[in-house]
Amino acid sequence: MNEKITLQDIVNLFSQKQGIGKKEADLIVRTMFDLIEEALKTENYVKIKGFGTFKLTEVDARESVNVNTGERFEIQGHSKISFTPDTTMKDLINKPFAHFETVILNDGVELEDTPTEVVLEAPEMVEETPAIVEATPIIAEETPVVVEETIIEETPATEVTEVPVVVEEEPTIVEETPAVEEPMEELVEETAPEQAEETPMVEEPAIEELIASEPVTETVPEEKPIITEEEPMVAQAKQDKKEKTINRILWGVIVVLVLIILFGAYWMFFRSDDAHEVTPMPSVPEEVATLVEETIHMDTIFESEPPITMMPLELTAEELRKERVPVLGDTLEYVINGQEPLCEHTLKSGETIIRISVHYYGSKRFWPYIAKFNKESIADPDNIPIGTVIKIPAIIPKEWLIKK
Amino acid sequence: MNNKEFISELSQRLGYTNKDTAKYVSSVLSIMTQELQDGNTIALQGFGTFEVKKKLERVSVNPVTQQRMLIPPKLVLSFKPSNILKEKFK
Repeated sequence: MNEKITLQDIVNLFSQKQGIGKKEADLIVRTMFDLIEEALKTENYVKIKGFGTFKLTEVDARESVNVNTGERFEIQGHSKISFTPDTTMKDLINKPFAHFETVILNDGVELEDTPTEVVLEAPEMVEETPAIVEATPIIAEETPVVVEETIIEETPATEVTEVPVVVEEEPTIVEETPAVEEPMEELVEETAPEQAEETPMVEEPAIEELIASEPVTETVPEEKPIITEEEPMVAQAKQDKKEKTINRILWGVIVVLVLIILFGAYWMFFRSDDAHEVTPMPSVPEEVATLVEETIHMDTIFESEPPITMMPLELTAEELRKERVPVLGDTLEYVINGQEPLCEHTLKSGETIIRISVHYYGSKRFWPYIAKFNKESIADPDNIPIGTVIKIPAIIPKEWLIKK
Repeated sequence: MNNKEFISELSQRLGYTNKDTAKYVSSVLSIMTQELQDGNTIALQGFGTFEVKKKLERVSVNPVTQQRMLIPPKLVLSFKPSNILKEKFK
């Protein structure tokens, strides 16, 4: 391959093949080419069967430009030798590529891809789409469970436990502050039914967030169709399969990781309030529920802002502590009331912001408010140095503001 | 000059019969085609070079029907006359 054959090589091969002397063979080959040359001179055209045609073609004089100097000059008319191999020769040379045929391209077909490849791709696509379909129901199955859990857990808790508590306490507070009590009553009564209505509302975005927080599960299967749409070669299709298995492994790992994280969060949260937690339900939905709660808390931080107007009266820290029971339920409807803290608390060893929230508000749910109120002193709510003085904010339902 | 004339002219010069000459010529040509098929280039001093070149596939459009055609790749025999030969015909 790619060797340069000279006249001498041809002569040697020729003499071997025909069994004639090298001198004779040399003479024959030389005269052959000499004759071609001469015949071209005399007749302008030599046709050799099984090889091709040599022709002299006239080239007209034309003007050209010197590339270096830019000067114009004329190329004089001359004749040039052209060679066209005849059909048998052409076919012999083109033998390795003879099986190719001219293909008429349809409008949709891209340049490099032949239709055969497109046909091969089609079943691949069909095989892979179910993977996506399988993936989505898993998420879809999870979400309804979450909704049921949260609604069952929270709404009865607020409705049943809160209302009697308020009724019991009514007399005592009425004695002290009759003016405040009316709004307070109304609020609790209103919040109880409204919470039942609102909680599903609240849950839905939370679930959406939850689904959004696991985008990996969705994006991983989505990558596959993208690859197939690019119409890869058949070899790439094999790679796709490999990727598919890798993606499945990845997906599994991600699911396990998420479960571990959820379990950690669940443990962190439910360890602190030991009062009203019986044996946990099937682990996964429970954990998801806690996660939903978390997200709601996170929301409250951003949505609640210091109120512009002051309330006529505030609940004292002692009152809040007395209640202990989660009077202030879990909704978005709370705000930090005023910049003045109810009291201050010096953090001791082993205390967490969640514990403080339980201590003062009767529920761990309000820790984000404390964190927000103490932005200056608490850099990281998960790691607060011992001895930090934490200001306990007054938290009131947002509705009180609206009513005013 | 066609093939017949070429053979007869060559046989006259070499002193062989037409039959023998035709046999030798076809033999030489078959050697050459064999070498070319193997992908070698034949460089003949004072005459020129025979070389097999690969033409890449391309899309051609029929200007009348606007039909696009994919022309497959192919191998073509090309001949490049040597400078000596070129000068002789100028």
